[in-house]
Amino acid sequence: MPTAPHAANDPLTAQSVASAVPSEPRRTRASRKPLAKVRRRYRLRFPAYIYMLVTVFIAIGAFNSQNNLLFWAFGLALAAMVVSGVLSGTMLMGVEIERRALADARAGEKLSLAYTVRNRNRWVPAFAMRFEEIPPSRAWWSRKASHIEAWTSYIDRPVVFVPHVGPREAVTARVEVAARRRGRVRLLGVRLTSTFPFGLIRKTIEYQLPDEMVVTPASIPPPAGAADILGRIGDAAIASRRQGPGDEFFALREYIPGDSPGSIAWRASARRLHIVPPGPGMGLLVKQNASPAPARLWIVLRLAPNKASAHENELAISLSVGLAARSLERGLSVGIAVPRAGVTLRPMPGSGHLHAIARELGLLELAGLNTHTEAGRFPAAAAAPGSIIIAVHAGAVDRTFGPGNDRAFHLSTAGLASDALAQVRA
Amino acid sequence: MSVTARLNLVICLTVAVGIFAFTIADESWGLLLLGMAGAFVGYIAGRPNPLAPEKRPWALPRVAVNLLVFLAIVNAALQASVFRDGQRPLVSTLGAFLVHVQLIKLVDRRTARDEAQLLGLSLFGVIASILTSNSLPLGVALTAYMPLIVASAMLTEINSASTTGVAHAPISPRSLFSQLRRVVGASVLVACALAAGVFVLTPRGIGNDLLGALGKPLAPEVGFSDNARLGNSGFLSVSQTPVMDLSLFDSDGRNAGDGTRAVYLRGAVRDLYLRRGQWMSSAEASPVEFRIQAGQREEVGPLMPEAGLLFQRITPRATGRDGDDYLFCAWRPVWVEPSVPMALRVSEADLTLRRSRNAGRTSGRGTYTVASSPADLTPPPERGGSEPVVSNTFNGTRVAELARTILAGSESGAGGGAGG
Repeated sequence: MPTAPHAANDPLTAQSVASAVPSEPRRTRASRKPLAKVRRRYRLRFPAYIYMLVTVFIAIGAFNSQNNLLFWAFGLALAAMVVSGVLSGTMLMGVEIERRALADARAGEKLSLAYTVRNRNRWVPAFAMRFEEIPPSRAWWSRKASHIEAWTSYIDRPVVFVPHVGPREAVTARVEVAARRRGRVRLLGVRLTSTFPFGLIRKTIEYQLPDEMVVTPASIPPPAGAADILGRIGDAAIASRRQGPGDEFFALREYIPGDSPGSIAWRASARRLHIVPPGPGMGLLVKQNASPAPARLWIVLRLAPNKASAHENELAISLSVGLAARSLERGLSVGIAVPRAGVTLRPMPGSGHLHAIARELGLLELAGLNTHTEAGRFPAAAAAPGSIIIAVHAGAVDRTFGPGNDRAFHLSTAGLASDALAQVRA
Repeated sequence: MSVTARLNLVICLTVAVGIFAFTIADESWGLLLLGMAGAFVGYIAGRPNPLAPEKRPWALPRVAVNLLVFLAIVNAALQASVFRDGQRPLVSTLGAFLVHVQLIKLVDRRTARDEAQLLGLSLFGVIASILTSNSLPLGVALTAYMPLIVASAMLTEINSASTTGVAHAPISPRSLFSQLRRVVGASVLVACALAAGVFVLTPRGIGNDLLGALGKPLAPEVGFSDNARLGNSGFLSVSQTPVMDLSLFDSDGRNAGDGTRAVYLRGAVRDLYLRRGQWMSSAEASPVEFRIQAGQREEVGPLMPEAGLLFQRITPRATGRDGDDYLFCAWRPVWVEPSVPMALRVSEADLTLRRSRNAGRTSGRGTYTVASSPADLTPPPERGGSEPVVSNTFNGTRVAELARTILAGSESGAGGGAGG
């Protein structure tokens, strides 16, 4: 959780809060972290030039007329300028900012960010502050930062306004921005601007505050045929390698007093008694059942960076996410493999696994795919017996792609509904 | 009370006090009533809807706003040109225009920028009031105005995101207003302390009268002007401030002055009384221009024996106001002798003497000597000009009676010292 410039790691809830900031623990020399880079800038706004012109005009009038009221007005005009500079400078001196993403966002939906603003001033409250993310082109602290793919291509610009933070208080502001396309969003820093109190001077503080978040791919529901297949597979369950309450036989074990008589394997016990004299458990054996396990589904994503367009590849990714979501809803264990990207996630059940799959697919970079022929071979892990395979093809279907024996179902991005296509942005 | 509601209240109060300050400075009582009513209407119109606090307050349609602004501009332009009362300062016309625009802007607040513009207009209006007057009620109004404008500016900044659609953090209005009050109070106190320092330390006397009447309020003034309206700058009163150095002597060079008697000098001639306390000259200007070298004597009337003449050596103290180009003399001038080169314009109709502005302003205190004939009461020769006209509206008035009494009580103009 990035904090700038040296905020304590006190937990604050995601809700908007205004609470006293806990006292900062004394840090030893060894534990002291380098302070984040902060740049402060002051810039006169257009009204300030008008204001100065008027001040000069008042001064000329005062000197020309020797009118005491004008001398007083001239003094006030100068004093207001000084007050403006000192007040805003003092106000912003103790402001710290912390940013966190409340959750990964899905492309086409909203990304929620929370900005926690702390005012460490003891007496001076902070007013009218605007926070916004610094684009890579404006990252002054590093040349590398300007070469990072801009977060502006993934999400809209997050801007949030904090009207007031009292002395030694913290306020959390949430902002939701549109996530335009999947990918790794690298936020670099936060810019604070304020024209308080009189709108004459724009004071800017830029905090270096790097953070990463992932915009996961949009989810395209699988075509009707594929959904039927998933339904049929979902009804089938196989015995797992663990003991459990299923119907399938798992193993035999020694009888323990208290075991249900119905669970005693009488035939096996008789055979054993014939060979081995009875022991403490009277030589009886008890039958154990295996735990039922969901069917395993491998989604193998065949991306074709050279043959298919970027949009088709993105469609295939989104279709894979939709397929995984539907499969997990049906109770299947879903694994995913992307041969050209070297991505393999073993089959697991549960909605938590969907997040892992979506995140992994969200981080795929089409430009970084291995285009070598060998890299595009069907992954061995997915070819293990007992698992169901769905190959998702970017572009045209290649039926030779699979473990053989026509074990794999093939899905292509061609022919998807137009509204589904509209969700995906290359 | 939400920030928007509080801002509306404070802005309307600020505008109202600003208009009050200007109207009492300008003594425009009708405008004062209009301003107070307009500020109240603005307050009512600007109140946020409690059911939809995020919605902007009611505003006049654009067309109506544009039309009203156009009318205000036309009115100001006419007041400043066609209908300009000769004595009404331009700053008063501009101030009235600012009041009109503020009243329009009060019902045309669509964005935070409109509110900032409103405050700017109000501030300009207050500057206009300072240029117009420096009376005690104005001072009281300014004392109330200062914390209001500071609070308005700060609240405008705090409320600036309300119209931009930018997400903003929730606030606790009670805590905000309490802390804002403290910040406003501290800012005003510090600003006053700094202003007091500037007020004390600013050198006085530098640049005095450099730009004429700029910055001079309508307050009692000392000096000569050919352009004044009675009652416009307060009551007439006596001042001991010298405006010129005058010495009187006779043809033998003997001092003819006397500190116990007043000397009446003649500068501008205003013989036609208009209503509203204003005078003007009935004779059309038909000046004759002379270029005179330093020490050269220029005759401006028929030559007379020097024995009967009275000589005045005058050194005016620079004033920089309208009328400082007149040369003074007691009764009818016979000749003029300046100590610096000058272009002299002599009006043949009333024999007023003026420096020509075309020849440039004479630097320094140019001393000049004028010989005048107290005994010669013949009118100037007619040159197609009209007879001096004394308006019927003047005869019989208290001013006319007073003038006759003064003239009857005066003698030949012999006196000493400087006239104030």
